[in-house]
Amino acid sequence: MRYASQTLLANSKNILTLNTTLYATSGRSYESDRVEARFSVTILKNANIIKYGFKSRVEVWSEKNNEKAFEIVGIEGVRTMIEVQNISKVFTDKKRGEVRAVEGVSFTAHPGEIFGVLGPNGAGKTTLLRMMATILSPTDGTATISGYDIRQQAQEVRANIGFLTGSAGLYERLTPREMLTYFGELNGMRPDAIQTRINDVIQALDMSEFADRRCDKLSTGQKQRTSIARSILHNPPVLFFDEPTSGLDIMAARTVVSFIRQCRNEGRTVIFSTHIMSEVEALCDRIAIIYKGKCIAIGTLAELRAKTGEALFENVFLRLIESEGSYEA
Amino acid sequence: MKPNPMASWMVVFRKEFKEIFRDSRTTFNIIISPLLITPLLFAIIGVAVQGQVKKAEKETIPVAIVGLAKSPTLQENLKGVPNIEWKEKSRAEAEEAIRKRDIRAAVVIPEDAEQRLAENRTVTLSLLVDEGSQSSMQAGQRLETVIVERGQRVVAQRLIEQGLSSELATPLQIKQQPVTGGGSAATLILTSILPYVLAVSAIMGGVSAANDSVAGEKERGTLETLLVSPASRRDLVLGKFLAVAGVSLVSSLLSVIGLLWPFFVPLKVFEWMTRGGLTLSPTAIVTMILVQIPLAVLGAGLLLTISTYAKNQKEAQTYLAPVLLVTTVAAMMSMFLKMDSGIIYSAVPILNAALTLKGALEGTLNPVFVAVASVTSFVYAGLAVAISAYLFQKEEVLLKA
Repeated sequence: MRYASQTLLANSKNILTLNTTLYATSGRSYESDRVEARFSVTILKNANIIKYGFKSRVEVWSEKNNEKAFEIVGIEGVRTMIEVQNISKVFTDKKRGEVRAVEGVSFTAHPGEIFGVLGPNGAGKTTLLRMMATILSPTDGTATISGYDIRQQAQEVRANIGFLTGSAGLYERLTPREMLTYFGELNGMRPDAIQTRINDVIQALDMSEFADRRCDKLSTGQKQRTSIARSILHNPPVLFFDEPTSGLDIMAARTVVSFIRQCRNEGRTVIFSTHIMSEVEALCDRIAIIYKGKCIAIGTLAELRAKTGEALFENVFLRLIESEGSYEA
Repeated sequence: MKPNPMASWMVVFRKEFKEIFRDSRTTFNIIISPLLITPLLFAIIGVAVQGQVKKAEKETIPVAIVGLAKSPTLQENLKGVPNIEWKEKSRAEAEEAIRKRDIRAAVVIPEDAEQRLAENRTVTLSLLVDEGSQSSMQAGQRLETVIVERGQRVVAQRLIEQGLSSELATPLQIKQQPVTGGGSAATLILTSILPYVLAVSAIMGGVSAANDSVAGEKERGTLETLLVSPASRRDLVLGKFLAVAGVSLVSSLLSVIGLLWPFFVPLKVFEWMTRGGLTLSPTAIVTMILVQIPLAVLGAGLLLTISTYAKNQKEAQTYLAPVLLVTTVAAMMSMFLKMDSGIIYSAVPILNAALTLKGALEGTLNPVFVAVASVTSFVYAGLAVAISAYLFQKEEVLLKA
């Protein structure tokens, strides 16, 4: 298990126990007040109060003295769920020759965090996400997901992730229930566990009405809910969303956005790639700006605003690209 | 992770198989077409051929005859020919009438016919036909038969007049008698058609399944969701390959059943092909089943390779066209060749399987041919599968869009 040692200010060897409800609270705190969010922790092995820095802006308080007394049930520690290290991808194109789709990108992401990957079309976002999801293998560098290396332990990585894209389709001649069963089996779940989980997911996503109807007979919104159900069926701690709202109407897009929030509230790590500024502003805790395959800035919305001196996020984005010296208006 | 209760390739295989048979196109091509449409075609052909034959038997052919008045002997001789209506015309009129299709053909009697007949010499009759018209050519053939037959009567008459036996003119006579326990006319039809049908259906039966399996998944955006599942790519390709091969096998087996059931169901429309019954040796039946396995494997490997390489189903169809053409030609060649036509054919994929089957149906299996054909068939099939598995590992091929 990999701990984000740079964020633990003291006693980094102690096991911190945070619970999922706590993350939910942290998520909501982030929205209302992104700077002052407070976490409470229980220290199992050491009675000392630990101050826990989350990019130096989040203080962690002793649970017993906190007026919000949360029930603590076992997520182990605050760990770096995703660590991307200097990852690159070079494609060889017949017409264009060597194309550097992603170049030396590094970042970390944590449980209960929505990490945005923002960039224009063709910036390398999809390639980056596909490498992290082991669909593509990196030319250079690597990443760990939930402690597993994407190069060496691809299968374990895939068991720990859910993947949802705007262009993901369904098996039209199967029903949502059959399709979910298929993915449950591919994820190595036991038949009884699959059925229990499918029933839970169907209920949670309000799919009972169409769960046994063939997928080609579903509306866009119903299809999208089925896709969502597929991506979380195996209860993965990490979720990738690659332009998940592209091509969706406003209602279907809303379903996706609220699902992403719910994932954060449940303590999952969410990597969210988009080119839509408003979605980034509404959802992301931290953002990596990707341009021409490179990561040109990482930070919270407030940090990026402070860095550029711009208030409007669109201007923040453009300023960052300009400062790269490579912006072509 | 909990242990997987079912191997991933099995999961993929089961799902693919279920999905394939929910596609109405596939169901039609694999089940309805070979079981009903093929026999129906045979029935239609049978009815049409029988109708044609009956019509030809009853039809009266209008034919011109030139110079009949000058030969009373021939007048007498050509009387009472069934289904021929003689019309006396001049040569110019006859030619014009043939061109206008008013009559089918014409017989021209030479001026000296009566004299030559009286002298027991040969009379040369000219036959006028339109070579561009099938019915005129057929009428010509009919006239030729009639004239030869009536000529023989003249010979018989001449022999009798000389006080000799009429059998002198026919020293040899042929009468066909099929041996009991041998192949029937049906076996002949089957040996020429079955290897072709089987080879084509084993290869082509999996087309829509294969197309849907990878190119279709790319097109619908489901392949990516499959690639992020913990199943290995080897398992994915194995499951898909087995499903396509399974569909090909079902398709070719049903094609065989479609060709055979008319022999066991006494329907009048199949009489023309089932007359005489069908004798299939156990070797023929076993070969029929065995031959399909490497064919289905080869077909599945080839189709899956194309489907994996193509960006979408439309592109897969384009790549398929030449493959299907080569398959059809190779299978069709089995109609004109035999196992002993040359050992070289045992190394030609598809053709070798079709020829082996033909040999088994005819009861002339050549062990060397069968051995080479089996080895090469499995090598080709293995190669096709290996290529599709290799392509499935290539990210630039899988994510081509």
